[in-house]
Amino acid sequence: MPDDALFETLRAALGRKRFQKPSTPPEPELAIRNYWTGEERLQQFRRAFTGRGGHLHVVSSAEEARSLIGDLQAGQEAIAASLPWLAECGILDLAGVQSGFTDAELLRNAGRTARIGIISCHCLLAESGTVVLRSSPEQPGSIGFGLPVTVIVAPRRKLLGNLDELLQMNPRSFASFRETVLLNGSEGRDIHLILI
Amino acid sequence: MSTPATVRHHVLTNLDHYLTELEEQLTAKGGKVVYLRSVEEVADSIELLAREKGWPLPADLRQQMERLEPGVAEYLLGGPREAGGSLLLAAGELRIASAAYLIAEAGAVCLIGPPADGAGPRMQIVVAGIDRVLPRMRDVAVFLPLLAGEGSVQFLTGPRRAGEWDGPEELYVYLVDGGRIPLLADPAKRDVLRCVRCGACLSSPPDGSPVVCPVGIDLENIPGLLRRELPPETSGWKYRLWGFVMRRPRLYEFAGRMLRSFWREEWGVPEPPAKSFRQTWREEGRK
Amino acid sequence: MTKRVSLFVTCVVDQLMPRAALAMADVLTRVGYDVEFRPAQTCCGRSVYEMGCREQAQAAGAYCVDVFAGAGYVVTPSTACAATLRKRLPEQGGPAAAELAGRVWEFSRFLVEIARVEDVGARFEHPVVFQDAEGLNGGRRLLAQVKGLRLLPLPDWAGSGSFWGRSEPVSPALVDRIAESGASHVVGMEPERLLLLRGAFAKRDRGIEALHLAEVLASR
Repeated sequence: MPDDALFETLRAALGRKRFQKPSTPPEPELAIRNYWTGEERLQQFRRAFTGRGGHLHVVSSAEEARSLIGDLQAGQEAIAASLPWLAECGILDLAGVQSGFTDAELLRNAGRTARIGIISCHCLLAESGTVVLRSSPEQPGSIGFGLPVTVIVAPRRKLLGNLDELLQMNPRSFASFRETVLLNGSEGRDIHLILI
Repeated sequence: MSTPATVRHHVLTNLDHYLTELEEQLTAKGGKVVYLRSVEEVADSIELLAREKGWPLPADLRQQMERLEPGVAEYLLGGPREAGGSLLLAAGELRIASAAYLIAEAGAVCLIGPPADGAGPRMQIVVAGIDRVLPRMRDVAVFLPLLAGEGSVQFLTGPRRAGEWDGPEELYVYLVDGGRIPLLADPAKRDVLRCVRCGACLSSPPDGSPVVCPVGIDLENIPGLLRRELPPETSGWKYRLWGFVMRRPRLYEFAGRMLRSFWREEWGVPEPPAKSFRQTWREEGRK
Repeated sequence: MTKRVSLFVTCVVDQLMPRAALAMADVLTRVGYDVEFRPAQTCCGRSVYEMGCREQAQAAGAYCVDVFAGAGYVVTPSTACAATLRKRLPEQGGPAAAELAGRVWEFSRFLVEIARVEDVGARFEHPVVFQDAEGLNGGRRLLAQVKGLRLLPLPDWAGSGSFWGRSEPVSPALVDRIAESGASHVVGMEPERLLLLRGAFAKRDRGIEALHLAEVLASR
């Protein structure tokens, strides 16, 4: 709802004309840590993420990841996002893991009995121990944020230095997703991150 | 000036442009932008929307909304701090949150706090002052650290999209003037609106000590700025007398002796010392 | 050549906290300075500046310029009055005002940045909490060298009141937080806030003392 009267007083207050372009905004000074090695990133991430109650498991193969998920499941039902990456790791084929929901009702019903949600992430920020999650039709929030235990499976290459790096690399990507969540710590949930 | 200070200054001087850009981006993705003049209008509008949906609202909605952005006095009295709070109403159908930032270029709303559980509310209302805009997404890199602390952060760009099963069906962004435009009109006061509520000044009130404001607000100057609007008071005889006395050290010393007990009562400080510094120094024969 | 400093005691310390200025003089002497006090001094003008009376504040500022002409370093126990002289004198115009603004130093900054000492040979065997002044880290560095002193954490000073404005008193919650910290003393660098704390402690009958940093550094 454009509000012409409000904009008119606003422009009068600022001494600006209609459609007047602004000067170039000053550039923020970004702190890019591209000199960090992969190992340094991992150490940073581990310290920050586990310091805020997250559980981190670094594994060397998809097979290891699958057996870890089996342990976490301990016979309980899980629902998983229908992501190619999770399929590639063979996680969607595990026993007791449901995925590929074709409508909201099916997902809701499965969510009632499941205890574990399995998802992946957009990236990880080492400096703050942040997991960056994005909602999509394949990965609805009901899987990521509804259940007592959340398992996030991600490849190690998703580990970035910090938010500055993410914003420098691809600032427009934020606009192309409905929701981006920077999850800092467990927020009182049981969160397991499996890095392959 | 620091980057946050220059960015905020830039936004405020071009605010109409950035609000227009924000609105274009948000509405292009199905969000609804509503401009409101006051907090009362915000509460009225929420009540109207809820009534249309047949959702019951608590009787103390207005008090609850205070929690979204508590007053400065509460901070100073050491009350509980709920940065970036949100309200969940009507059995989880409606969520009201205050925005930490609005990002014009991306058409994004930045909220601080954990994401909603599960499928989330059916309607999301985000309330923000018209001054809360940042130009681009990458500005968030320098502004988020001022606010977020340890908490999680959400960026929303619109309501549920085609093919999605959750997320709010409607996203309203309420942009509130709340008396900001007159402040913007006065270049001396405009910079006060750079404030992003980081709270750096709260741990030490603006009583003249060197507080470092991350967005470069001249905190010490604010009382003077406001009081200058009351010129008759400050040009009164009391001020002239004060100036006269302060340039005459003997008169000052005499007045000090008279006034010390009065100061004590004024400020609730305990028993004043028997002798002033200068008296002691003189009696000890120091130079 | 002996090193000289001139004390700017400020009106509040002169009248209500003389021990802080005497302690400051002792510490400066101990670290090798010749200390003078120019009795013509009165006030920096901050109180009336904050009340909005620029005219009288500038008159007080100009008076300070006369008083401290040729004094070398001017050292003051008040962070707020140091800030007033440093920030507001240049606004008055004229080379003398700007020159004085450049040689006014808050006590802790003077020790750390000009005298370049952190250990002043002090001993103070008590648990204390420290009221930081934003933008200044010298106070903590100086306290760290005091023998026997135990610095307790107390991160949140919300509710510590404002002096000239007096709109909010020291909050009871803050007094409780300090009492619960187990500290016997609060150490600070801003005389007015220390006075407010003294008042609040006395009123609520808490056995806690509020001391200026200089008083701690002078004790041995």
